[in-house]
Amino acid sequence: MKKTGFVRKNGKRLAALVCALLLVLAGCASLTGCSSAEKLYLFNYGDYIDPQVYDLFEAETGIRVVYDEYAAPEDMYAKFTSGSVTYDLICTSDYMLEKLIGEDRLAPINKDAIATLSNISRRQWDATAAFDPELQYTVPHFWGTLGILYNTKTVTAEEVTSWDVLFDGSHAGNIVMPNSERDAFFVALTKLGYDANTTDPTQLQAASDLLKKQKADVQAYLLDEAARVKVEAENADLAVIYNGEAYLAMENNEDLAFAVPEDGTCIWLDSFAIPVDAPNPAYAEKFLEFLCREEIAAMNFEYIYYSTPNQAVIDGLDEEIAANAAIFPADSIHDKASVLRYLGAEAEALYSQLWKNVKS
Amino acid sequence: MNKKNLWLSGPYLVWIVGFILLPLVTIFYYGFTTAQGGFTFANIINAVTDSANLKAIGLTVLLAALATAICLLLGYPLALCLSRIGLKWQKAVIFLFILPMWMNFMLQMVAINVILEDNGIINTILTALGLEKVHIANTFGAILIGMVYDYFPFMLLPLYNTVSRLDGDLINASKDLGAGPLRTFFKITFPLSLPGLVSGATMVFIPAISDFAIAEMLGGGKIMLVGNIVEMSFTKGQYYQGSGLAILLMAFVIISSLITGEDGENEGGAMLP
Repeated sequence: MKKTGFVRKNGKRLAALVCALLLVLAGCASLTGCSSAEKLYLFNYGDYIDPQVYDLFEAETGIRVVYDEYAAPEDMYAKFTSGSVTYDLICTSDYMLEKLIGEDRLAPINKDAIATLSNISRRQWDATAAFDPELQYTVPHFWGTLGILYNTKTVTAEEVTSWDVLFDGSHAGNIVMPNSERDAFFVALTKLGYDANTTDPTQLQAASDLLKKQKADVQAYLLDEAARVKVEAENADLAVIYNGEAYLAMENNEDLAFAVPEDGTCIWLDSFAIPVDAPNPAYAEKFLEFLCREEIAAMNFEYIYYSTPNQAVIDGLDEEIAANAAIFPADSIHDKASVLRYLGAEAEALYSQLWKNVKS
Repeated sequence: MNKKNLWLSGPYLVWIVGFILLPLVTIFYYGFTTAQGGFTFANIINAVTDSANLKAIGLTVLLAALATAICLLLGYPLALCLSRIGLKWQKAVIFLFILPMWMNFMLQMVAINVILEDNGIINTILTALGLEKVHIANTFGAILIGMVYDYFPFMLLPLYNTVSRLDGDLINASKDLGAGPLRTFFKITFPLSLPGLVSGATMVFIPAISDFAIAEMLGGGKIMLVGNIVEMSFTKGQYYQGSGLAILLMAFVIISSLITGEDGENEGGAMLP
């Protein structure tokens, strides 16, 4: 009774209070609302840094890493550009970085302040130049190559020296293609002898026709882990997949092997960059310095098993791992590989339309 | 309700504006504008003229209709049987059918995939028996199985609610007056269970027509439904085309609820036994 009386008397005030509370909550929901001095806001792919690294960093510097995760670069772009959240540091892929650089969304990194950058191999910087020509905006995190994971019981090493094996009908119904338009088109364009970054509509149409024809032989279009599990469980003989996943698959099933076809491959590079509107770029630089240290980069490498760009880590590895072609592709492959570039909005739309046609 | 206490609906009003009205306005804004900001019907027209979209629309309607029909064919006889056994058993069987809904959706789909896979459970059994393997994984059939599995309880519950409440006296009267079992069924039982049937069909058809997750997980990315194209457009930043298709999907849903609406309403609230 007492309570009802109270509510009745103070109804309006209570209502105002509730509204105010809701507003505060809404404000806090976006990270900027409650930013405090000692936090570094990081936006990264899921599971891409060993969680212990954050603890070590906080113990050393007192800076807490608050991280958001995303699955696809396009999701990252949508959230990043919506402006609802500002980050100090982002990690994403080559073509997306090129797009962000082109849109003036990234700030140059003060590389002199980061002594440990000298651990990054020369070769990685050369590859980085494909999308960051002056090497001012990005710091490499991991890289990898596209290749074919195959079951040695049903596929010979001879067959996978060329992408043709995916198109000649010899393994109909047992092929897993990547469920990503750029990667799928890369395979078709390379098989046709075209440039991986072409925007020529005739060439793209030809690649699209080839993929459409191939579809009858494809068991499924899957990415990363889903593709790996398919081959691991021997429900498919071949999968076009990135090397880190292939390495895991080979650990789990000893009949599997990984090959990068000799007619060319593409390499991807995931790198860090600092947004122009980063509230605390200095924290981001501190974190980059930390990440590039040999022991920290080694922790991350052992967590992910993608190819690390950190030469100090590579030099310190067991010979067996360093010689594993799935993790560290041979130099000859690296030299022939293309980096997928950002092709502009018009070409992107064409890609999407053609990919939709392939899949429908 | 006391007028003075109207403010209690405040939290929900915030909800309705933020999570229902704003998204709708946004979808309609993108659906009827060009990238340059001008008004256009092009996104809607593209949604129904693009060949990939047309194919997806056909597949989607076909799949949703088939899933509804199969759920109905499985659910109606079951509901009739249920209404004739003891109440305790009825509750137990209904409980068994609802049970899988408490499991994580992803887990259900992964499990179905393991069952259907080329080296999956069904094919292992077939091989052990010396029979030919069947290829269902990543096909139209796999998606259909997934939909039926996932949406079946939504068909069964309204049907069961209606059928179990049928007036037994009417059926007895029909028999007393000399009608055979078939005639009784078509003249009494079936017409009286129509509301539950329509309600069940709506509750399967509507989610099935806008589904994309089942198709993505069981179709191996080889079959594109309208929902998948909408998802693809939005993740690729093509909000205008995506919104055009989303509006088309909404139109489908509204039309199918209009067709079934009046009868469906009665049973919607009486979903749980």
